[in-house]
Amino acid sequence: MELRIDRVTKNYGSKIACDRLSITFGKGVYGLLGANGAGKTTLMRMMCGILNPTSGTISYDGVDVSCEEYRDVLGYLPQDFGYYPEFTAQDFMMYIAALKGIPKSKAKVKTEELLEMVSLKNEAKKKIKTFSGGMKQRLGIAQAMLNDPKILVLDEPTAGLDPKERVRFRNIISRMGADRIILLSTHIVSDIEHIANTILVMKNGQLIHEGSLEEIIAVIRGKVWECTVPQKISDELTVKYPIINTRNVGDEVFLRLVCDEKPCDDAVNADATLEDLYLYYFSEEENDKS
Amino acid sequence: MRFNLKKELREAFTPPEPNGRDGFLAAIPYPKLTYREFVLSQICYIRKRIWFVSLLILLAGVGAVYIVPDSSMVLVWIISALIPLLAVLTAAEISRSDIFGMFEIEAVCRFALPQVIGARMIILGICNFAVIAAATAVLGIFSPLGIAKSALYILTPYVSVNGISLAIFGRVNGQDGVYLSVAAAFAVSLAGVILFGKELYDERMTNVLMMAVCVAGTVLMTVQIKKLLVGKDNYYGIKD
Repeated sequence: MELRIDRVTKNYGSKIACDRLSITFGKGVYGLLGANGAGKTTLMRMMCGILNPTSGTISYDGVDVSCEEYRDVLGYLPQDFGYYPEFTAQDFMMYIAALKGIPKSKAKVKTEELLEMVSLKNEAKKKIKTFSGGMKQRLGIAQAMLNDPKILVLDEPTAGLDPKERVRFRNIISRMGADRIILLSTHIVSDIEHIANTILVMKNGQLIHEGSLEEIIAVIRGKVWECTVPQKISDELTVKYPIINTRNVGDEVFLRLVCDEKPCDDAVNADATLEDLYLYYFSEEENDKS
Repeated sequence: MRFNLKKELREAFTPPEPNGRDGFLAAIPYPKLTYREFVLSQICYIRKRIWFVSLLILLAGVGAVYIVPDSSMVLVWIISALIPLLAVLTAAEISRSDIFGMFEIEAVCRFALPQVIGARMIILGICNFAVIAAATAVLGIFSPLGIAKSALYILTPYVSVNGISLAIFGRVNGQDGVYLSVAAAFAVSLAGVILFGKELYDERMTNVLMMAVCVAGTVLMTVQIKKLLVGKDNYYGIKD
């Protein structure tokens, strides 16, 4: 079981959305991190055959992404998806099952099983237009699993889910990752931290880090500091270093920041987390955008 | 005797819990739908309004023949005015993946988006062909136009509205596209009624004009259908 992305590039006019990406996926859960516009969705769409790469190839066990055999083992949850207004949850599942080539009798059994898994069994006959955002998201997750996919691509799967649902869904993904390739992209860093065996970090269309949580975090280990300082010093440090967290404590300011050396006398070294790494790489970009 | 032995064995021993049963069952290959079966499965997903309008056109044609047998041109107006409605509904049905934002999910399935759209075109094509053929026959028999002119008077609004609507759906997202297409269909219907009612041109001129519009509409419709079937990102405008 091997999904190979080989020197894939995608251009939109002069803008390079993905720049010569080469990744090989085996069984397991892969977490894709990156700021908005980093190229995550473009990469996922190319992996699903929705977008054609400008150059490079994508294949699963030698089967090209454009082949029916590839789509037959693929499950995909897009970031935003619509639905036909007259559909109930069950109609939606049966419709997608037909598109996936699943015979009606098998589709019925699978639909019931998956709707139960995502806690929508009692809502099976209700119109999707009456569903909340979280319910729609759960339905989207269920449809992606209809064909028991070997490659599961999930773009922001936990967006809109409440914390309890998120944890439940996280556990389901983790279990499923044992015998298939799962790639999930999310801004909820803790989701990736908990379930991804391998973390991929994208920036400006390029893969800047790839590895386990330990390997990824090693980049900033020993560089995360916490200190509580007066407002004036806080202002100076804020200009000088990437700030991960800030909070007022009485007259002073608590700071969590990343820098190579001790930023001030009171600073103490803190354990680095994936969120630190994410903010370290992308806070500047987010600030620029806002 | 044998029955009793089985029963006693069943009572004496508790069978072990099935181990990996779900995985085993899931791994059993099953025959996937063929494209023909898939096309047939899509009939029930065509919205009822298409069948309703198709029926309405047939009933209106037949009804007009019986109710106003002397005013044969009324029949031409009625059918020509209803045909754009069928055309716009057909275009909306073909383009509904795009209108309702389902194209991304549909594009990654075993039967990918072009095949899904193709299935809808096959079903709607057969349905529309039957309606157009029946309407042409009714007009050909009960109006002074004859079969050839009847076909022209029915096909022209159909292909032009269908082509325009598909072009609109390809460029304007969501419900806005629907409103614009309905407006286009209404304009074509109105133009037809005015053309037949006021007799602005002589007959020869009208026929030439109709033929030109029919050819242009057919070309536009063909181009749009080709875009839909081979489209992808260059058609749906998917961006990061």
